[in-house]
Amino acid sequence: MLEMSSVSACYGSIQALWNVSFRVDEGEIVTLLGSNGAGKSTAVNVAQGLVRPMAGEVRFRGAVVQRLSPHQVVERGLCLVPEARHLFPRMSVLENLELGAYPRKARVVRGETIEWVFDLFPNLKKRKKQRAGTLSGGEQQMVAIGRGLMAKPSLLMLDEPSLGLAPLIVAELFRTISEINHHGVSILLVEQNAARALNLANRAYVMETGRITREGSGKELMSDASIREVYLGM
Amino acid sequence: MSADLIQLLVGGVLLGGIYGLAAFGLSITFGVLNVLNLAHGEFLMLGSLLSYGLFVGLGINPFISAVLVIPVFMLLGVFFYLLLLKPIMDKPPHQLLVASILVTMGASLFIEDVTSFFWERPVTGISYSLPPMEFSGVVISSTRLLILLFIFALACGMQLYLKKTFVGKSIRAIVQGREGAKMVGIPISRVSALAFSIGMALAASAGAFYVTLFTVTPVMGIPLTIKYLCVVVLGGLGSIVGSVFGGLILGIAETLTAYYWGAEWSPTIAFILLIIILIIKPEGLFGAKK
Repeated sequence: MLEMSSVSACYGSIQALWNVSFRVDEGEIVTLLGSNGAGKSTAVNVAQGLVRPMAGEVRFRGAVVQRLSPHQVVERGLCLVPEARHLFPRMSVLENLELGAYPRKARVVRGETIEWVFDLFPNLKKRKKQRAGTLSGGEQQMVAIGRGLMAKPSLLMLDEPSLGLAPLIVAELFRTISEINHHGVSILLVEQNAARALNLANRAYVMETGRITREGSGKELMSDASIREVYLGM
Repeated sequence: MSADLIQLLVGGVLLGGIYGLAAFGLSITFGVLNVLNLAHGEFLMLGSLLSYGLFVGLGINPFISAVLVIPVFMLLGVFFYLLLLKPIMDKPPHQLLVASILVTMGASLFIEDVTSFFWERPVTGISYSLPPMEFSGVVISSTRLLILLFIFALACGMQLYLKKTFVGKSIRAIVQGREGAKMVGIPISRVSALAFSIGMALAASAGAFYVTLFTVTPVMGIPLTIKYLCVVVLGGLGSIVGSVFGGLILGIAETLTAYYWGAEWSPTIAFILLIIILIIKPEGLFGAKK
């Protein structure tokens, strides 16, 4: 579904990705693990069209997308929920969600999608009139994910959704992610929380200093001694 | 309250309405594009000249001109954006700001010189007026009152457009979070062109009224732009309601200053207000704290 082949990318003179290749297949949950600065966010930003790669190719559902602008990528059904969330702070939760359905295809079914998002996150329904900037961190994350789903993506990329959230909320969040996946949305999950991510994922990639260093099924990596030591602290 | 004071306040509110309308446009442009448009006053000047030409040449009422200039200048705005701003839009924010100042400053000088070339004599205002109204000693020019109502309606219409329509919301979304707007699939470039052309049309529309109150010359653009910048900072950068209130405050302050201290002091008051607000509330009256 999403296929990155030998992608290299830079910020100014600093190279952030070296020859990165990975793929996400239809219906999968794939996780991208790695510590801070490993290039995970850059990789998803390239897929979204926010960062232009120097070399390599990004294909989404067969079409080359690395030259498209972000809104064209969203229209094709690839949607990123960014690490910093980037909500519209002075708009209500409902307005944030409505704007998520900007692509024409998504706009037609906006009402239904909002109902689905409210089913996934009942808290948001209670707070739909509240300004997004006044919500707690966990609720803001829910709005960000909900807003991403509003575009009716076939692949949703989540960039460190658990960052800064309380453990209970993280557990709930991962349950919801799995529920979204059951609904037919493929998921690319960028995480530092390796234990939870590996539990959830069908397959996983490990990134270090801008390169993919390991790949395998969630279970495989979970039982790998070096992964356990570095990422799981066991 | 004496009749004089009421008279002055009414005059000030009207002047402020025109400032507010033009500053509103500048604020949208800055908020959405992160572009400081120093050519903004030129569009007001061009709107004024067009309105003047229509009045003198064809006898068209300035109220009609104020509506007519909107589509004309929206179209011009799109061209201006595509030709001069689109090429610099990919720069990082701080570079974009500097680049936009240089580009629009150049455009401003260009427009000024070309206009002066074709428009040799200074233009006087147009003598359009309706019979005045009198309420217990206060004489109110009904032209001015109508203009004020018109500006008020335009500002409310604009606010409704931004609050209620989907496209309006996407304009506000870019103001509140450019990155977020990209993520949800808002075509930034297209919406930016629209926002820029709206800002330009509002300036031109304000210009159509400006010519009924003041004399217009081809070189008035840059001083006006600076005045609008004061208004925008006064109200709070990025706040659209703020720029309208900032305009009203400046209009009233200028009128009162001209009456009590002398007309030569009235241009100064904008800067005095600017200094005061920067000392006591640097984010502006309605600005979001960073």
